[in-house]
Amino acid sequence: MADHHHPRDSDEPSSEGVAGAVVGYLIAGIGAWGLIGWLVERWLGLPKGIGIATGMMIGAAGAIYLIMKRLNA
Amino acid sequence: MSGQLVVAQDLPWPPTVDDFFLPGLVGPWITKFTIMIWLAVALLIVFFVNAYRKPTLVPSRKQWAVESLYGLIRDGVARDQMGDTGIKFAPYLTVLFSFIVLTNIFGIVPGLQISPNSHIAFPIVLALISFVLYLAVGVRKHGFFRYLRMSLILPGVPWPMHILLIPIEFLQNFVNRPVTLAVRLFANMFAGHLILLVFTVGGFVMLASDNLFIQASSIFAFLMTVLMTFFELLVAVLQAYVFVVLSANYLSTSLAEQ
Repeated sequence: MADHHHPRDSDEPSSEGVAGAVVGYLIAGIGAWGLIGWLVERWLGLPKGIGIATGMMIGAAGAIYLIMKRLNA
Repeated sequence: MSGQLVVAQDLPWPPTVDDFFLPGLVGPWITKFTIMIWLAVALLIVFFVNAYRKPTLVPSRKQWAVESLYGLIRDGVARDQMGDTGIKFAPYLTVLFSFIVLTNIFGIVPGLQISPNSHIAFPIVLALISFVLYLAVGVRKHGFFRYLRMSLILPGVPWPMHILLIPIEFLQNFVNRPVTLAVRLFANMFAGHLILLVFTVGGFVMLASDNLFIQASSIFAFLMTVLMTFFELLVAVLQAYVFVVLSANYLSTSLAEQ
């Protein structure tokens, strides 16, 4: 069989990896900062829902930033 | 009509946990899943050893089958995801792929009819193996702290951003990856099992109804069972492939240079 494989740079992520990573980063971002926001909300005794909502938005923004930087998307 | 009613009444319904304990077996440790895992391991050992006992330059048919399976995973997954350094992981990925395909296909084999991967414990173990492997590979290649820094810290961003990004990267690399790896396989196989069960049992229940129209409609339930069985074959292979590709992809991030 002809040798038609193309060794890729390890920097260049595969499409399957990118698709999974994008969704994963969004979930991770919203989850991690949602949790932190919830903890802060309980710690400071803020009105219910403020901390977790703010945290999730910060997390989503962070995740999008990370996707842009890490995956060059 | 009474004969059809008997068919429905013979169904063990509702299913209980006791269904997993086959009659005549010793102790609570051996379930249907245990037997199926033994069967899968035995079949794979026999398949690989038998096919490769006397390797020849011009392969026999069995040897050709094993070699093309290995070649598919080596070139299509290991080398594709990790480059030439990834070839040393090809045996692991091939075994992982064959094991998952085989245990997934158990879900549509008459008599077995459930995949061990429909039980969350088995995908968890498989995902843990890949998880520990890619952590170990990363730590061995870069050292513990450098690997941690590589996984958590994105180079070339202003430092306050790290406060925002490190929790995200931590959750993504050390929690999300193994969890999604396990849950994806489990949920697909479990859902497939439920779909087949719904159409089969639904067909029998419709057949047992005393309305002729509903009885006649049961044919569609049985047709869907057949259709979904083929669909499950596709899902079985696809999910095994996805599991292996993602394992290789995670390994490649551990091997990455920067």
